[in-house]
Amino acid sequence: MKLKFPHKLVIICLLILILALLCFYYASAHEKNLENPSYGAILSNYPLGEVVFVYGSVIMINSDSYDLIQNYNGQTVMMKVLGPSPGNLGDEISLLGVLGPSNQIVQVKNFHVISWRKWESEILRSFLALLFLVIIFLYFWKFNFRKLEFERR
Amino acid sequence: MPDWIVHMAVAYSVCRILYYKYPVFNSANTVLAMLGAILPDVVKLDMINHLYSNYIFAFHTPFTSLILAGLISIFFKKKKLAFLFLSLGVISHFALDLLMIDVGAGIYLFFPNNWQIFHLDLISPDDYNITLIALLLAVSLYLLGILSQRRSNKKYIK
Repeated sequence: MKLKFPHKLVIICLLILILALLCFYYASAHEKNLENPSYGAILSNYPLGEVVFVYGSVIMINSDSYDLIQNYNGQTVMMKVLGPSPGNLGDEISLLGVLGPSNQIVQVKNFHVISWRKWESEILRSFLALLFLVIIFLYFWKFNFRKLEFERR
Repeated sequence: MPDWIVHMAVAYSVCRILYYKYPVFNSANTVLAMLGAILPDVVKLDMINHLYSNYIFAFHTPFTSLILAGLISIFFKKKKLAFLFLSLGVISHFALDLLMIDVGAGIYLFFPNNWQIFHLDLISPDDYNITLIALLLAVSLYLLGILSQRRSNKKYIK
């Protein structure tokens, strides 16, 4: 399939527009369609007594509770979870629990922990994988700036 | 989500196996499948700036990822072929992500039509063993490929 310049530009613009619309739709409808309300609902209408989905890094561990911190759309949200911490400081925890007053989770229904060491090593591995992909991609493909196309080397 | 080594290794292995039967699964096209396999994880940009996290997570759905694959394939000479290989990678990505343990989250397989979440809760996202197995499989297939190529070259010389 050979696309000439104006057609190519139109298709590119159209696809970018579709992607932008999908992103806007996702952002506007995601919270409403969650099985359990999450940070969006906690920050807006605070569904007290409902089972909510929260996630974040453990920043403090007390004898009877632990604190989670999460950056939600540029806003820092702190949640206190009552009960013993299933992870260590820095670990990423996602959980379903009953929302109590003052950003507290009073009863945990289900949780999953990812240790920060494993999380950091995963990020490092992924970065190395990306570097490897860039190298082998450029080994097999080159960009023709005149035609604005990738071609086989 | 598993790390990118797993995603790329699985896409590579699938293409490498199919290459024995179909030559179109050559190395250059395999690289496209590997690129497609990490395409939905463009959402990891969220780690750099959380401001757009609500928007960017749309890319971690099959439909949006396939459109992104379509956009990228426009910049290739053989657009249909590029799109097919990128799509193969995208499909392998979601097949793997479906296996992950997700509490309160998962994959919106039918977004934007349906908001039902899918997750099989079989593997922890931080499981090292999966990375090792996927990597071993990919390396074995690579070595097997080199070995069979040498054998066929020897036959040709004889």
